[in-house]
This record gives sequence, C-alpha cells and structure tokens, in this order.
Amino acid sequence: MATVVGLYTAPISVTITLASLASSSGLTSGRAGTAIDLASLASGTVPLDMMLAGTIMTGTSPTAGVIQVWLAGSIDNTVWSGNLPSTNGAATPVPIGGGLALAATMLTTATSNQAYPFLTRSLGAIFGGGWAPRYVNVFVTHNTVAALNATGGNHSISLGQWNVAQ
Amino acid sequence: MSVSFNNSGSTYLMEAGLPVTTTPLSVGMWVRPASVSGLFVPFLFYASAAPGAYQFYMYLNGDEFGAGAAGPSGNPDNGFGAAGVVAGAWYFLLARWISNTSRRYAVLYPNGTMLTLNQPGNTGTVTVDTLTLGGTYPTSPQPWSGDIAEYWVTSGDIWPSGQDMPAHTLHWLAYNGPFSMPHIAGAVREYKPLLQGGPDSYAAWENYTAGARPTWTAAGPPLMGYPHPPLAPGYPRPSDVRIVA
Repeated sequence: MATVVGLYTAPISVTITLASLASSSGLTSGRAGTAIDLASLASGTVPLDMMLAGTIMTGTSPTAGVIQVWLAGSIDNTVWSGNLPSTNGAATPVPIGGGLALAATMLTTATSNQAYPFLTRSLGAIFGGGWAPRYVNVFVTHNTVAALNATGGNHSISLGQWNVAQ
Repeated sequence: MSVSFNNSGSTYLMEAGLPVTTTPLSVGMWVRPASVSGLFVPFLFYASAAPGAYQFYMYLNGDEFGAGAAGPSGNPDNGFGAAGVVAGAWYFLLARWISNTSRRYAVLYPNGTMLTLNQPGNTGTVTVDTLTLGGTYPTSPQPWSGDIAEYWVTSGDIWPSGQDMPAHTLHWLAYNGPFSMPHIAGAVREYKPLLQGGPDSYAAWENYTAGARPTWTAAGPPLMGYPHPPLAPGYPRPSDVRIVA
C-alpha cells in the first residue's frame, strides 16, 4: 500500500534588490522582485502550499515607520495584479490596495540597521482562494525615511514550499 | 449577518471586565447607520464609577462621523470635517487611542474613500472598565440606530504613532480583518464578529478573548441585522490563525 507523506522542499530565494531601497512616505512605491513560476520550480513539482519568510534591515538613522511586503499574482506572467513588473526593479503598483495582497507589515523603530524578520500566512490564504496563482511576485515598500541597509546580504526573502509525495 | 440596534436606549450589548482598559488601544468595526439625522453612538468605553468623566468613543452626528476621549484633563472631541454619510451603507471605523495626548481615527467609506482625524489635546490618564456596543451608558443613552459587525480591540497601537494608516492598508484591514495581518493578530485582545442578533449575539463561540472570558450583557436584546459587510474571501477568523499573545 502506498504511503502519502508531507514533504518540505528547499526554499526558493526571491530575486529582489532591497539594498538602499528609498523610503516612500505613502508606502506606494518600492521594489518588485523577479516573478516566480510555481509550475517550474527546481523541485519539479507544484507546491500545494507556500509561505514567504525573510529578513529586511533598516538603514542608518531611520525614523519609526513601517516595512510592508505585498504579493502580486498572475495567471499568464503578462497581466499582473497591481500592474506590478515581473522583473527585479523599481515599482509603483497601481492600485496597490486593489490589486495586491498584503503579506506582512513590520512596525519598525528608530534603531539603525535593525533586522526585521517576518513569516507570512499561507500564500493560498493570503490570496483568499485557498491556492496561489501560477505566477507570484513580491513588492516591498517602507516609510522609514532613511534608505534600507546598503548591504544586499542583509536582506532576504524566500519561498517555503510544502507538498505531498508517495 | 450583523447585529441591529434600534435607537431605543434599551437595546445594546454591554461588556464588563474589559481586556484592555487604557491607552494605547485600537478598535475596529463595521457600522451601518440606519439614520443620518440625530446623534448616534455605535460604541463607548467608559468607567462605570464615573461614566461621564472617562470615555473613549466614536459617533455619528447627522451625516458626519466624529470621535473623542474624556479624562481628568479634558475632553477632545472632533468631527471628521466631512459630511456625506448615507443611511443604509456600511462604513469601517478605526480608532487608535494612542496616549493621553494623541488619538488618530479613520473611516473607510463605501466608495473606498478614507477620512482621517488626528486629535491631539490632553485627556489625562483615562481608565475604563465597561464597553457598550450600540449606545452609551444606560443612564445617558445616545443609542445607535443601525447595525454593527466585526468588532475587535487590540492592546497597543497598530501603526506608528505619528502616522495615519494609508488608505490601501486600511482597506485591506477592513475587508480582510485583523487576523489577516500578523502584526495585529498577536495584539488582538477581543474579537466579536456579531454574526447574529438575539441571545446568540453574545454566545461564547462567537468570541475570541485573549484574557479571561468576557462578561457580556445583551439588553433588548439586539436583533439580527442587515447582511454582513462584504468581506474578502478567506477572511480569517481567530481559529484560522496562530495567536501570539
């Protein structure tokens, strides 16, 4: 008799350049990552569920503020919710509230170079339908006034996967 | 559904033994006014020993929302400065009583417009022990006329104190709820969806409380109200998420 088991596969790093990301007072502009095709992951399987986890570090002499991680989705890698770009670069999604899903909000302090780790809910839950669209991407914005920490290695966002196998 | 209050002064939900009794605290809820002619109070926190002297509240005065707090050093109270509230539509209210000298409020209109109110002014220390949903304290009723749904309260402020929550985040919070935002979920001290009227409006299964079981009294009681505000699919309830107290 076949046995079905749960399986955690290796996290996928999201390509997004967060070093020195400028502040956005209204949390409307920031950085998009490079989209992930959930049907073409290195593991060769489509994950049943996923979470985002990561760390984002504030810069020097920030003010107390907010760092947000939003999610965009697409079914064809052409039309994206929020009109978010699908490649790593500056972005001002329109409209951010109507098209993107809020994955994480971190309230930050005035401490310089402070790392803020986060773990989101299930992507399926965040998108509200119990499953994620085939293509997903992240958008990061903050309003801490000072640009984020200038060292790229101090920031990371990864996609954790869960699947079943027999 | 929601819970309906009939502006009678004798129909309300009252809670004693509050999980949060002083600043900072944040409150969110959906309200649906049935009338925009008069003064209506959807909720009021107060001190039972001196109900007129220690308060946190929001209200609808005619077709304009307002809010305030009262304490030993003053009673800052302002309207939002914009009218246009209509009867029969759902509005999301967010109140942040941050400190003795700082309060920020927001209203999300049905068309997505957000109004904010930044209210300085010193109240002195305000400590409350009772909440009334659907009106003020029974000896001085200014009852709510309409419906209320999805009430929650947090200990602590849910946004940096000197800032208003942006419209896009307020919109997300209103339609997806406090448990959809992990940094708020862990701060929720009570959540009451108000899915039904009648005696079930204070049924234990409807509540999430981080502390001791709350003591609710249903006067009237309030009846089942209009259909619930249109929340997002997957709106997480307390049982759906990890609570980090």
